[in-house]
Amino acid sequence: MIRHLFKLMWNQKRKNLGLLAEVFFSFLVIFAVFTFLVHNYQRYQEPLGFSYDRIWTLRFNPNREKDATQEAYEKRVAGQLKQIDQILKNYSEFESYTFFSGNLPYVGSQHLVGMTYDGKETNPYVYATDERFPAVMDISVEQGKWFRDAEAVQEGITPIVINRQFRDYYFAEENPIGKRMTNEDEEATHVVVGMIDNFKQQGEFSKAYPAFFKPRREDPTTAMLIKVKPGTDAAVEARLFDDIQQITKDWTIDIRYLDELRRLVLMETWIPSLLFLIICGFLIFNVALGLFGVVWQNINKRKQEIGVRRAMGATKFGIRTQIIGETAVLATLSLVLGIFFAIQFPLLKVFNLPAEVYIVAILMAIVFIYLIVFICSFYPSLLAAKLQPAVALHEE
Amino acid sequence: MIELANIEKIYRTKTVETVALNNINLEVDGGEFLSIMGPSGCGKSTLLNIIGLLDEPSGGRVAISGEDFARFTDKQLARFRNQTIGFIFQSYHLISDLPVVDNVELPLLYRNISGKERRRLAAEALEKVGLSNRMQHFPNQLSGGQKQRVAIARAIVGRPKLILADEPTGNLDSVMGNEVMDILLQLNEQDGTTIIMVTHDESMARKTNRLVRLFDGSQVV
Amino acid sequence: MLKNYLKIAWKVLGRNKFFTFVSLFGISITLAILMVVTTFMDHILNPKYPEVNRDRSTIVRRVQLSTEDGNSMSISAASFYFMDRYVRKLKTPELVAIASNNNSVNTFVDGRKLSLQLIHTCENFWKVNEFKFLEGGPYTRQHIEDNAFVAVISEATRDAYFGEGTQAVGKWIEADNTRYEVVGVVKNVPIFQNFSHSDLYAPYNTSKIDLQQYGFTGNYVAMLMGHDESDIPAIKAEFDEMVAGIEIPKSEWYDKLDTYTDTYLGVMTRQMFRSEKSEEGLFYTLLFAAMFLFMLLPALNLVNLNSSRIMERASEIGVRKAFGATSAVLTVQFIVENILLSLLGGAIGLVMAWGILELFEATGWLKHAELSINFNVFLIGLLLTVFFGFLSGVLPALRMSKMQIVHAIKGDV
Repeated sequence: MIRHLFKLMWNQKRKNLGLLAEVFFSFLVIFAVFTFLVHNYQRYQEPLGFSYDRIWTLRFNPNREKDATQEAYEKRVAGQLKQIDQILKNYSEFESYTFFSGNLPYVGSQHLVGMTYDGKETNPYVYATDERFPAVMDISVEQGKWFRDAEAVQEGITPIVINRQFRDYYFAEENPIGKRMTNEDEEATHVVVGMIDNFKQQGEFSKAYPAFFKPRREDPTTAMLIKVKPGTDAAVEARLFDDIQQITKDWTIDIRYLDELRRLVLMETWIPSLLFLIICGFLIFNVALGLFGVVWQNINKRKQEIGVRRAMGATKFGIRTQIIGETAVLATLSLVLGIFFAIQFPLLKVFNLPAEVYIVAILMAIVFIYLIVFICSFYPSLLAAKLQPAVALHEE
Repeated sequence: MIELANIEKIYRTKTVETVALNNINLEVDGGEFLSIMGPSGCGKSTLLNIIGLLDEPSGGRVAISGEDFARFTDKQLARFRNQTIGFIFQSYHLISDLPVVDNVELPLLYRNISGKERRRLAAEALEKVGLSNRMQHFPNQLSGGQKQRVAIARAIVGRPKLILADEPTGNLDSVMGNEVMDILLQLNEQDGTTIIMVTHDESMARKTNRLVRLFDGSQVV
Repeated sequence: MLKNYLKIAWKVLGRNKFFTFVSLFGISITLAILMVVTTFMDHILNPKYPEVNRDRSTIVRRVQLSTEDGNSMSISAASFYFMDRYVRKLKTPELVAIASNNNSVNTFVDGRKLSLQLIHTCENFWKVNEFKFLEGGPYTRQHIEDNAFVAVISEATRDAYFGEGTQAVGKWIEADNTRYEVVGVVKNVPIFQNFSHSDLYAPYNTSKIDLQQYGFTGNYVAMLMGHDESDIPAIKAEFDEMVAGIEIPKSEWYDKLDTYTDTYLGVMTRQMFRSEKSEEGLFYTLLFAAMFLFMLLPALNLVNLNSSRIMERASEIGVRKAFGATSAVLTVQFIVENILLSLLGGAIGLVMAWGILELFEATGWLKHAELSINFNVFLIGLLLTVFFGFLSGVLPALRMSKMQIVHAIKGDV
């Protein structure tokens, strides 16, 4: 029977060219949608690796231009930061706080540095912070320990804490603790002392990327993260703002809430995604309605054939499966072409997405197309089965 | 073989009630070649549809080979049509997008028969109607007579006991009509197939065993 | 004749309500989406309040410093030093305005935090851009020479800081630890106006950076306004000549300075395609290709539906042909039908587009965006509609007109 349907549809391919083209383009659209969804879902499934509740971020711009030399600038800023540290200790509203480099979580800024180990070279993200960081962000150290501020500067050795992606890239399955990394100056100055799990700085929808944390030293730290106690409000924020301004005079200070930053970053993914989905949803719905209309119209055109089949012994159910089957066969013809194009994406590694994303998307798109075909031909098939063979045969 | 008792067929719309058949009683024996004649609209096609189980009578009883169809499900009816009855239509009703051989195979598709066996039976049926050399042609490449011969091949491929032909020669000139008629007669004589044929054509009707005339839904002879 | 066509078309639409619904649904939403996109493009690309002089202006947006070997490179906005020393001295432009990029600053009002965007500008900024002042006026050359700490604020800032509708001129606003006297309040600027939207405008003398500091990279943008559009090539030429004449001291790490001035779209497309020249052609090609691709599926759908529908009318067509209708007449009739259908869909689409734009504004995602469908957009929409109708009608129409009379009458197609 299937062979019969294939033959019938293949011989009608010229008549159904429009339909074939439509299903083909629909498949590509649905493939794109599912690739997008699967990709983002996969990203979202990877743990974020840190907490964003009740965390404030402070960003400073210490206006480098005021100082004659870099040295003077660093000395001035280091002194001011020490004063800020003293003041923050007195805030009973804060659970803990930490100094951080400008590449805060949910902030677009990225700092990368070249790192080499055993011939493997890449540019992981680098964050400068202190020993209080894991407590503020609620991060647990998986292996080894977090560095202490006291041991930060010792004989030109920098203790670093890496994330899992860093370990996977450089050391694969090996124990990373104690490994020495070579930096851009080709000195083996960085020693791994600890490893944490994920740290997705750019948020839930970003890729977990190799990263490491190093103790902040002379290099001016330009941001802070503060974990506040529940119920801390803008009045405290205003006080903090004034207190810091007392010390820093002409710095530009920006205080934000991490959960608010997160919301904005997520919106950047959600809003275009939603628009994209709505538009594609409309396209597909439109196609589905059209398909329904065409299949319906085809039934009217083929009343006599249906009558003959009934006379030859086809059951009502047989007619229904035939109508649905034919539409499915048509869809299959389009799908073969569509899959041929879609499969090029993983083969040619377009957009550098993992192949499984494309494969899953292709499979889902195939199921989706068949589902649409089934739904669109279900009612027309019912009409076809209801046709009185006697009437159908004598309509001229 | 066929027993029709008090068959009535009435078409009702909101405003009009049309009587298509009125109190038809008919018995057809196995191996008979019966023709039904009558002017347009006399109900002969309706009668044929009722015999072919394509239409249900408004009243009365139809029995074929002793089976009473009142309680038959759609599936049972379809099976019965498939196994027992072959149809031939005035306008052939071939599927234009399929080659001749696939058209002939059609009834076998609704049975559990392997593709090879189907092909063999179809070839055999086509041989009987003298079209073995046209197996892969498409219907629109054939003449009217050839088309009707394909339709006959399709009707006999399942070896039915009964063939119902609705004006099989109505669209054909006399030469082609006679060819078709000869095949039907041969089927009747050699294989003992029961045939009921609706026709306009006196000369064709005269070649059959028995003639029934309908006028305005009623049996005349 | 046309009246006759229209009458038949109307009847046909009513005949199969489901098909008419599907067609109208597809057409209206497709056109609604296209009109929304066109409206966005209109607001992003065309001169609008307050950047009404975009047509005769060029922008200086980027400087690039690099070493001869190309190993080190720094790309950023230009410094005040460069703008002040070189760009403001250009002769060809009627006016040169400079302004910083937006900086985020915080201020606190009654224990409430207010995040504001602040830009520093020169006095010409108020002449190149035509702001609408709700009260007061712009700051002037005199303010800058007096090193006055004054500011112009937006309506939204006034409402948030001083209270809705209160008079603000003469009052003081504190932001980023600096106190400014308000001299003017302007109507809110939509976020699409890249170089003029902000919450707080202050003269450059109030900025915290050292304005005399030597260097080319910084935070400033310039707008060079010609007398009319034809000045643009001359402005570009003078700018390039000026850049070529800049000598870079041997002591600096870089030995090459690259910068350009281009029209708004030129700057946008250069950045978008990371190109060395303006890519307006490429931009419009891609835009239209995307729109065409988007229309492709609904149009294909309509072609299929129409082709199916023709079968329904095969006998009508056959009879018409038998009585002497030529193929051309039938084709025209069918296209008229489709265009009528599309126009109907277009009208519904217009209402939908309006609704979608209202919805966008209601969500507030786009600050101060006053999205309205203007006459041009409507005209483009109308053109798209007719094109759409033609596109989806011509193929089935050709097929129909080729139909053979005998087959058509029998309905055997």
